[in-house]
Parts: sequence; structure tokens; C-alpha cells
Amino acid sequence: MTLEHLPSAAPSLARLIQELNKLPGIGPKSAQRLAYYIIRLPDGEAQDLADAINAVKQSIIFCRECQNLTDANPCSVCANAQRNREQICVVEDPLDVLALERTHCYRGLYHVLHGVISPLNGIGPDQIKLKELFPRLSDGAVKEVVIATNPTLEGEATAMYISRHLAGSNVKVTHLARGLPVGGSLEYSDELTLSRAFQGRQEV
Amino acid sequence: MAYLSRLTLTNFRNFVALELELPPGVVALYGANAQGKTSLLEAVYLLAIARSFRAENEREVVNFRAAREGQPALVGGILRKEKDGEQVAVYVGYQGVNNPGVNRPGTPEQPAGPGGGPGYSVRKQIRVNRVRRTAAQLVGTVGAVLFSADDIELVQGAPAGRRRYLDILISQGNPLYLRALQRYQRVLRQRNRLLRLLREGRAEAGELEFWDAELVREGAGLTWQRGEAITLLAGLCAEHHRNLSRPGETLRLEHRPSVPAGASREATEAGFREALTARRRRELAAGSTALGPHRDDFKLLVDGVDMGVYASRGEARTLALTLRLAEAAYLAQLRADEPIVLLDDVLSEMDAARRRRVLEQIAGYHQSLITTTDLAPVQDFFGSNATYLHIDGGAVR
Repeated sequence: MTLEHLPSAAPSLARLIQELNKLPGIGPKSAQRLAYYIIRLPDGEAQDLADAINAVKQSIIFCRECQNLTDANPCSVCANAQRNREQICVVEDPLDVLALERTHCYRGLYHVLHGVISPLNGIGPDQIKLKELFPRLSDGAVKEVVIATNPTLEGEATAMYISRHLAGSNVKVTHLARGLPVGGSLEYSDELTLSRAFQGRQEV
Repeated sequence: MAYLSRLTLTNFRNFVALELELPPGVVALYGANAQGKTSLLEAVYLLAIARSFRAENEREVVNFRAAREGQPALVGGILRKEKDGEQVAVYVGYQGVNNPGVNRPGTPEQPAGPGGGPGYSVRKQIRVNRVRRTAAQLVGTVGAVLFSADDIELVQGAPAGRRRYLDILISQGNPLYLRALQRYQRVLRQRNRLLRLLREGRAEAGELEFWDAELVREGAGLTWQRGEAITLLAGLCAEHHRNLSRPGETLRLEHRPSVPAGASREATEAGFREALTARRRRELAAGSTALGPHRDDFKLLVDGVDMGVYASRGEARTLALTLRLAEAAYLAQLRADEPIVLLDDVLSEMDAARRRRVLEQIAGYHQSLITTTDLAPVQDFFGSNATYLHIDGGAVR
């Protein structure tokens, strides 16, 4: 018997499916599959999952410095004395920090905006963590802000807002390069990427 | 030289399963009404412009029985290039999704309902040579021009129809144009919302700067490219008009951009920026963008008279035909291969002389698909030089 044929008189199951269905990337079918999987889990494991969800909601906070998600305040990056305190890399969300950390080539600090400027979604500069960024730059310790927002229209709008705001200050504002993926081939890249890459060409 | 050598339809409208081999040259699709003739052309044109030309909501293209059973609709085509025998496989699929309302918090509860019900929507998937592509990447792969009985709206209808005509035409000749257009439309939506937020005092004026700059950059580019296209098109239109209309009449196409096209792209940008600044207060009051390619139009002038206003129904039909023939000629000039010409039931409303002129033109293209209820006019003209396919109840016989 598949779940679709379960009588509707299983309200607790319907509730679980409904809650899972609210998650990003989880459609009705996947929600049913996950719920079915959870039902078959040993009691302990299902409890562990529920506990983990509870714990994360209770202990995760925003780092008072970089606004990244953390359970220590300040977070481990901001507390690390080995990090270069003259550079701040501005990213859209916590996953971008993880991606940059995996490269092991950036040793500065971060600032997580938790979003980008998008009037359509009612998100202006005040709705993301920008007002927390500018005070970090006021004491002159930070020499460079590296903007690493995504190369989308909204990411670019956010980048431009930051660079305009810092124009005239002593902070150098840079932007991650756009262009060809490593291991890619000119022939298969689209025209826009290629023209951007051309504009951002470098002397070798 | 390229032609569509195969068309495969699955659950597309009333075609449950169709595999059709198509030859180059003239192909006449005949049959009674409501048998699926237009749906076949819709499918071919879909492969060219990446969306249905007649569906209000694209979920309509999924056969209703398939929708109810959660089956996808698929349109596949093989474009065969004669020069080197290269084949390009293009594919557009629609997977239906029954959103049981709980999917998006905050939206009103919708019944999970059967396919085609209120909660039913489709996700489109496009592939070229089996690789996932966006609509903007597909457009330009298969070139096509569609003649339809609704084309009279190009002459007598609202400017939006003429903008769409230009956009499809330019996009099929230049793949970068559609990317720019999509970006412009997104900037426009963001900017309009920001103007409304500003009016309500919920945003700062400085936030406009980025959207203004992007609007001007993309907008001036579109205005400039449309201007260039109209210049080329105007010559082609004049030529075809001479063929189709009363002797001695001259047709002129006049670009009426919302922002004047300057002497260069840069000059157009500067002019746009200036005009936008001058309108700032009015835009803030209205809460929407007053200027830009989304307000462009072009006029059809015969001996100086605006045909959008003064054309008789017959004249408007002739002008619509002229625009389509010019579109095909434009694409033949700008693309590596000629467009596929699609005639959807337009022969019946022409007099014999015009019909002959149009068919003469069509015969010059590498492949054309013609739907008709009355086979006689096509047969009289092409005889055994065309292929005849009978469409009956969602099948080809």
C-alpha cells in the first residue's frame, strides 16, 4: 500500500507530510517519501532528528561581528586571532562562507548579509545585514572590502550599493572576478560570460 | 539550408503519440476543423520561440487526460542541416505539477484536484542535443516564421503586439538580444516596485541609482537594436508591399521609440539618462517607469498615412502579410539558415492573385508547413511538388 492510498484519517501523518512539504526543494511526492522513511525509523533515530531540529533552533544565533550563524559569540572565524583583520569579504548567505572556506585561499574575515537587495521581494538595504557592516569599517582597521555577492541582477545591485556607500572612505572596495569556469572551454561558454571574461582580462 | 526532418509529439494537445517524418519543401496539412492542424504548427513554432504562441497559460498544451494522470507533454524535433548533414535535436517538455496549496505558505488553500484543476501548473524543460538549456539559449536554434489569421492585430492592434513581433524577430537573428530583453524586463519590474516603495516612503531615493543605470544601459541597447532591425525591415517591407498592393503605393516603417535613438548606442544611453532624470518627479508620483523600450512602437505609413488608424480590413490583412514575408526575408538574411515558414489557415481569406504571390514567395524557402481546410488552392499551385498530409482527430494519415 502506498501512502497516496492511506485513508485521510491519519492526521498526524498528514501533518508531517504537510510540514516537510513546506521545506525548499521538497515537493508533495518527496514529502510523502520522507514521511514514510521517518515512520520506519527506529524510535531513537526519529527522536534524534526531532531533538536536532529543536537544538538548532535554540542554540544558533547570529555572530555579533560577521552575522554568520554560530553557536558561539563571536563565531570561530571572528574569534580566530590568525585571521587577517584588514579584509572583510561580504557574502549573501552562510553557505557562501563555507564555499569560500573550502578554498583555503582567503584568510580574512567575513560579513554575511542574509539576503540581497530586491525591491520585488520588499528587501531594501535595511532588510539585510548592511547596517551591521558599516560600523565594522569605521575604526580604520579594515583596509579592504571584497564583495562576493552572486553575479545576479540583485547581487550586483547590492554590490553597487555597498561600493557607493564606501566611496570616499579609506576602505578599498574590490569585487570577485567574473568569467570562465576553470576547466571550461571557450566554445561552450555563453556569450554573456565570455564578454564579461573579456572585459575582466588580466595581464600575464 | 535547414529543415525540420522529424516531429515527435507526446500528450501535446490532442496528439497522444505522434511521430512524423517531414520532407523539405512545401508540406500541406489538411483536414476538417478541430483535428489538430494548428496544434502541429504550434508545436513547430514552440521549438523556435520556446513558448506556445496561442496558450494563455502554457499548461493548456498538456493533453487533459495526461494532465489528470500526471504524465508530461513532450515536443521533440530534429533539425537537419543540408549543407553538412548535421542534425540538431531540440526538445521542449512540460511536466505537470499538482500543487496542493500547502506548498507555499501564505497562498490561499487550493484543492489538490485532478490535472488541469486550479492547482495544476507546468514546469518547462528545454534540451538542445540532450543538454539542458534555457529558453534564451534555445531561441535562435530553429528559425521559424508563423503566419496566422490573427496577424491583422499587428496592424490594427496595440503596440504590445508589434513589440512582440520585433522581439521574436530580432531574438531569432541574434541570441544576445533575448538575454538583454529578459534582463531589462527584470530591471523594470524591480524598478517599478522600488518607485512604489519610494512613493510610500518605504525606501531611500539613493536605492534607485543601480536600477536607473541598468535600465538605461539595457534599455538603450534594446532601443538601438530595434532601430537597426527596423531599418533593415523597412526595406524588405517596401519590397514585399510593392508585390502585394496596388501599384504606386509606398509603405514606410517608422520606429517610434519611447526614448529617441541617438546617433550611436552611447548617445542613445545619454539621451535616455537625461530624459529619465527629467521625469523623476512624475515617475515617483505614478509609481512606474515612464520611459523605455517597454513603451516602444512602430508605425506603418502608406503614402504617409498611418495604417494603424486608417487601414481598411483588406489593407490591414495585406500589411500583415507584408510584415510576415519581410520577417522571413530578414531571418534569411541574418541567420546561417533560412527560417521554416508556417502558414496557419491564412490562404482562405486571400483573393486568388495575392494567394499566388504569397505561395510564390513561400516556394522559395527551404521548408514550409501550410494548414488548410480546403486543399484545392495549394494543389492548384503546387500539384505534385508538395507533400500532402491529412490530419484527422489528433493523427496524421
